[in-house]
Amino acid sequence: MRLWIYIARRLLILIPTLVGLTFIVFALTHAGGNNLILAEYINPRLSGPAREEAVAKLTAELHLNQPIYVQYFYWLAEVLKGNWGYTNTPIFSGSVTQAIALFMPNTLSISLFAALLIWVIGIPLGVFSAVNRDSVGDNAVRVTSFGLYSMPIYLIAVALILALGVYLKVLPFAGVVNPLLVSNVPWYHNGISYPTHILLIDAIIHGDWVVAGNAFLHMILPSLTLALGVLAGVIRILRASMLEVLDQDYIKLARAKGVPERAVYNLHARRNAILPTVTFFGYTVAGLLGGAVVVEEVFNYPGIGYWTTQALLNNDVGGILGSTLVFGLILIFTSLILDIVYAFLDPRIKY
Amino acid sequence: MLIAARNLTKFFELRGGLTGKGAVQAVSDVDVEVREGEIVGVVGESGSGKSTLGRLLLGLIAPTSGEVLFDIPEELLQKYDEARSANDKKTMEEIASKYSITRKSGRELRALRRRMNMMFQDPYSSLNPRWRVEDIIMEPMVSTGYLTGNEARKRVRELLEEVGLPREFAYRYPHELSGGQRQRVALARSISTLPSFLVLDEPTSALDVSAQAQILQLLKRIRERFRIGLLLITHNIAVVSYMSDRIYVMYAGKVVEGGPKTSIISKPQHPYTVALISAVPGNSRGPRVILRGEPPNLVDPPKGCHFHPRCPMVMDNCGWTAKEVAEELEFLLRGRYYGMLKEGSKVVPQGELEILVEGAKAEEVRKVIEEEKEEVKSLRSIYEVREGNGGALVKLMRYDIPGMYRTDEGREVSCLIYRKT
Amino acid sequence: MEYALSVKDLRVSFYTRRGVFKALNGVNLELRRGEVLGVAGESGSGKSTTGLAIMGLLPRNAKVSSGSVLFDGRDLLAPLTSIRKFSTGRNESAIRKLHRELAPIRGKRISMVFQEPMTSLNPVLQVGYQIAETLVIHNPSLLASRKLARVRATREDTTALLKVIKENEGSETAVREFVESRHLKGLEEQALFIWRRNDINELRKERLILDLCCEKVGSTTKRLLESLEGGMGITKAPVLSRLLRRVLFKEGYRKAVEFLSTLGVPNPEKVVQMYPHELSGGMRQRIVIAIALINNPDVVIMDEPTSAVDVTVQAQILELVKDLKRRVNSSFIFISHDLSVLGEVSDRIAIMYGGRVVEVGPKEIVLKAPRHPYTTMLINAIPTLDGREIRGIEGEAPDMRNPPPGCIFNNRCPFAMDKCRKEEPPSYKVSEDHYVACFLQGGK
Repeated sequence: MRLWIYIARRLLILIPTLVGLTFIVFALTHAGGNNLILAEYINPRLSGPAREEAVAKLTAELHLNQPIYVQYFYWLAEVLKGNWGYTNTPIFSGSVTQAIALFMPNTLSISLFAALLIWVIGIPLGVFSAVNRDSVGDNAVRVTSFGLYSMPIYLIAVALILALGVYLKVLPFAGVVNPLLVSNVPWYHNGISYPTHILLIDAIIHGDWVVAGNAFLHMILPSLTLALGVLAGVIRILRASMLEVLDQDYIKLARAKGVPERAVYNLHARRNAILPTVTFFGYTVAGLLGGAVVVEEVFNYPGIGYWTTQALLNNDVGGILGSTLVFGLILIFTSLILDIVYAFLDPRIKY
Repeated sequence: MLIAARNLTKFFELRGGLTGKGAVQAVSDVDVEVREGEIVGVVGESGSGKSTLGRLLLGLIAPTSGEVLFDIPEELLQKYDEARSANDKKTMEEIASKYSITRKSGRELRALRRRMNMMFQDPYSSLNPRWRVEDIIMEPMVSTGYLTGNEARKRVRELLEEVGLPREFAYRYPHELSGGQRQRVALARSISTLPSFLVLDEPTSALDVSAQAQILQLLKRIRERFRIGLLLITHNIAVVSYMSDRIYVMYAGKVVEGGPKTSIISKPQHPYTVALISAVPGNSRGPRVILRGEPPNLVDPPKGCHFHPRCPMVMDNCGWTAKEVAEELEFLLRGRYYGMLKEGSKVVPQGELEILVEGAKAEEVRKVIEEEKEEVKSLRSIYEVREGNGGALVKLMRYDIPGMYRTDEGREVSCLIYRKT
Repeated sequence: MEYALSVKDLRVSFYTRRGVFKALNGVNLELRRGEVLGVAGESGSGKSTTGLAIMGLLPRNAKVSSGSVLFDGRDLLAPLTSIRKFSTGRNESAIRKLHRELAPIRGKRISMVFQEPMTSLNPVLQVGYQIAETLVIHNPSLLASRKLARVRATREDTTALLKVIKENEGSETAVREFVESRHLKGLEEQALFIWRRNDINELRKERLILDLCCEKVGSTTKRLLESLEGGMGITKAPVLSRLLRRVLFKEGYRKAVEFLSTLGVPNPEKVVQMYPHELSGGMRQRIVIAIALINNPDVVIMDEPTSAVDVTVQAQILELVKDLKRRVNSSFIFISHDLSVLGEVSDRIAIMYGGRVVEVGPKEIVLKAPRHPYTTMLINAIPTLDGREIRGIEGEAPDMRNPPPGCIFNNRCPFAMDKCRKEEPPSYKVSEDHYVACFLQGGK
C-alpha cells in the first residue's frame, strides 16, 4: 500500500525531469536557427517570391515568429501528438516515430539479452570472487574483468569477431539473419519482419524454427560484446559489496546460529550485497545504450544505434534529435523502475 | 549567572514527502542555569535531547524559540523571571536583547565564542587526523583572535602540561595517541582560550574506566584552577553523581527534575528519576524499578507528561488520550475478555478524548474498566461510559500538563504529584 | 569437576598491516554447568576475542598459535591450531573448514549474543524468519511433530488434553505423559504456552487449546513431515524441499511467537512479521537473545549485550538474563566492560588484562576483596552513586604488538618487583575457587 504511494510520488517527480529533457532537445532543435528548421520542409529548388512565400507560410505554420518559450509549448504539443519530425537516411526515410518503431525492437532484443547475460554470469562470478577471496580463481576473475573494463567496446567487438566469427567460424557476425533464409518468407520484406519487428519472435510466431535459430545466432555476438563491457563493472561492484557485507555483524550472527556456509552466502549475504549492484545497473543501462551505437554499427545490426550513426553521418537533424529524445526517455524510465525495484528489495527504504 | 536558558525549545523539521512530516521535538520548553565555576550534570537516555540542549546553550544551533542569557547579573535575571510570570513581553524583550546569545552576531559573537567551548564524546573523530596536536590546540586561539600564532604556540606547551601530557606531544598526530590522551588534547583545545563556560558532551563514554577516571579527575582540577562553569552531559548517572554540584534529569526533550546532586541522588522525586537511579547496576538502595517499554518517538511525543505511558505512578490526568486508551481497551477486549467484542467490531478513538467500542454494551464495558483499573492504569482516565452511536461511548477526562514545581531547597520537579493545589 | 566448556592456554594473534597484535596470551577459563561466568576487562584485554574464539568466529587474519576450546570432549579449534606456517589464505581455508564442522553445534549447543543489536540482525529478513531459521536448521523434527500433532489430534484429544491441564493446573509432567500416551508429541509445548499466557482470559485459552486439532495438510506435505519426524532430515529433492521448508518456516514463526512472548516481547504476533529497522534497540536485543536461546543450548556467550542500550533498557535486559538463568539450564559467559553489570548477573567473575585472565573467583570475593593489583585499581576507578573519590590507573595499556616480558601489568603496577619484569606469574590459588595471577600472592 505504502509502496503505491511511493510509486505515485516518484512519478510526480518524473514531470520536471521530462520537462528538462524535452527542453534540452528542443533547444538543440533550435540551436541552428530558423533556417535549419525550414530547410527540412522547403524544396531547395524553389527560388524568388515563391520561396519567400513558402518561407513566410511555413514560419507562421511552425510558429517560428513567436517567442522561443511559446515555441517550446507548440513543439511539445506536437511531440505529445506523436509528431517527432522526419528522418532521411540511407536505411530509412520517414517519420521519426516510425523509425523508432522499426529499430527499437532490435536494440531492445540485444540489450535485454545482454542484460540477461550480465546477471547470469555477473552475479555468480561476483559472489564466487568474494567468497574465495585472493584465491587463484578470484585473481583470474579480477584480472579478466579489469582487462575487459579497460578495453573500449569496439575493440572487444573486433576481437570477438576475429576469434569466434573469422577463425573458428562458429558464429555469424553481420546483420540479423542470413538473407538467403528469408528471401522467400511472406512475413519478411525489406529487412523488416512482421508483426513485432523482432525477427526471433516473429519467426517463432510463424513456426519457422530455422530462421529463429539463425536469428538467435546473429544476436549472440552483439549481445555478448555489449555484455562484456558492463559485466566487468557488475562483478567488481558485487565483489566489493559482498566483501563488505561478509564483514557485517549479522553475518557473524548467521554463522553463530549455525547457518550452513552456502546459505550464509546465498541468502544472508547476497541479498544485501545485490542492493548496491541494482543502483549500478542504472548506469549500465546508459552504458548499454551508448554501447549499442557502436556495437550495432560494427555488427551491421539495424537497431536504434545503427540508425543514429546513419543520421549522424548524413547530417539528419530529425534522426539525431529523435534518437536523443528516445535515449533520454529510456534512461529516465529505467531509473524509475530501478528505484521501485530497490524500494521493493530493501525494507529499510522509507517511502 | 553565567548562563541561563529560558523556555528553550528546538524542533528539527523533518523533510520528505510532498507535505513534510512534522518535526522532532528534541528540546521543548527547558529552563537551565549554570553558575560560575559550577559543574552541572545533565543526565538522560539517548534521544532525551541532552546533546541538543548543549548545542543550544553554546549557540551552535539556533533555537526554535526561547532565550539563552549569557553572563547576566542575578538581579536582571530575577527581573526577567518576574516579567515572565507576569507575561510582561516588553521587559523580557528588553533584557533578552542585551544578554541573549541568539541576538548576537559578528564581532560580538566572535568574542563570545572565545568565552564558551565544547568538548565532544568521540576522541577519534573530533580531532583532525591530518593536524599535529599543536595545530589542533592552537586553532581556536588563533581563529578567535585570542592570541597570535607565536604566542599561541608557546601557550600550547603550557596547556599540554596543564592536561598532564608531555610537551613533546605537540608534534604528534592524533592516531599516535590513545583514547585517553586524545581526550586530554581535546580538553586542552577547549580550554585554550580560557573560556568561562564549557559544555562536555559525553566526554568519557568512549573511554575505558581507567582512562575515564583520569579524565574526570583532570576535569575537576581544571574547574578548580580556572573557575570554569561546566555543563556535563552524559547518560552515566554515576559519572554525574561523582562530578556535579547540581543535576538536571531530562526525558523526551524536557527537564523532569533539577536540583543539588546529593539530594537528587539520595532522594529522587520524579518517578522517572527514581527508576533511572534504581536501574544503575550495582545500586543497592531501595527496590529496583524496572520501567516497561522504551523512550517515545519525539515526532509525536505522548501528550501531557511525556513520561506517563511508562510511569509506574501514573494518575488519571497525566496525559492519557483516546488513542492510547483505545489500544489497551481493545487488547483487553480481544484477549482477557474475549467474546465481548463482536467479530469485525473495533475500538475506535474519536478525537482526543472519546472512544467508541463498536457493538458493545456500556454496562459490560464499565464492568471491565472497574475490574482492570488497578492493573491497566490508562483506564483510570475514563470518567464516563454510556450507550451511543451503536456501541459504548467511552469518555476520558482532560489531562493536565505538568509545570515545574518547587519542592525542597533548590529543587524542581515536573510531575503532577508535586502540584500544590 | 565436569565443565560445560573449558578454554586452555589459548593464544591468538592478529596479523595486520601495522604489525602482529598478540590479543590472547594464554587464556584459561572454565565454565561450570548452569553458572553465569562474567568476563570483565577494558578494551584490548581480549575479552571479546575470547568469545569469538570459542564460537570459531575469528577473522581470517587471526592466528591461533596454541590452545584449545574443549566442549563435549572435543577441541573446537583443532582445524585452526593445526596450521603450521601462517598465511591468510591457508587460514581462510582452515576457517571455512571450521565453519563447516561447527555449523551443527553453533546455535544448537553453543550460541552467542552480540553487542550491537542495531547491526546484528539481517536488515532484509523478517525477524520471525531469522528466529525460525535456527529452528529449521537444527530442530526440524520438533517443528514437524508440532505441526503433525495438530493434524493428528482430534477434537476429542484436545478436549481430554484441556481436562488434563485443568486438573493438574498446568503441570508439565502430567501434560507430557498424556501427550505421549496419545502419540501427540509436540502438542504439549503449544498447549502449555497458551495456558501460561496472561493476556487472555480462561475462556479464550480453552478455546485456543481446543483448536489445536483437526488441521488439514496435503498428503505429500504430510508424508514429508512424517519422514522428518522419523529422523530422516530435510529432503534434498528440489520441489519437495521447498514445499517442506515453507511449512517448517511457518511452524517456526509460530514457535517464535511463543518464545518471544516468554521473553516479554509485547505483541509477538506482529513483531515476527517486522523487519529489524522497525524495532527499537531493546526489542532487537531480545530478538537476538531469542535466536540464541530458542534451541536450549548448553552454552550461551553474551558479548556486551547491554552496552549499546539505555540504562532503563539495560535494566530490563539484565532482569531478563537473571530470569533466564533461573528458568533454563544453559551456562552463560557474560562479557562486559562494566563490572557493576557483571555484579548483577554473574556467579563468578574473571578479570582479563592484556590477553590474560589475571583474577577469577566468586563474584562477591572478586568485587569486594580483590587480590590482583589491577582488579583493585579497576574497581577504584569506577564512579559510583555515593560519589566516593575515584582513582585512575596511571600509564597506558601496553602495546600488544610488543608486550613487556614478565607480568603484562608490570609497567603500571605500583608493586612491580624485579621478578615481575622477567617471569610471567602463574595462577595462584588464594582461597577456594579464587585464583590470582600475581607474584604477590605466591612464592616471592
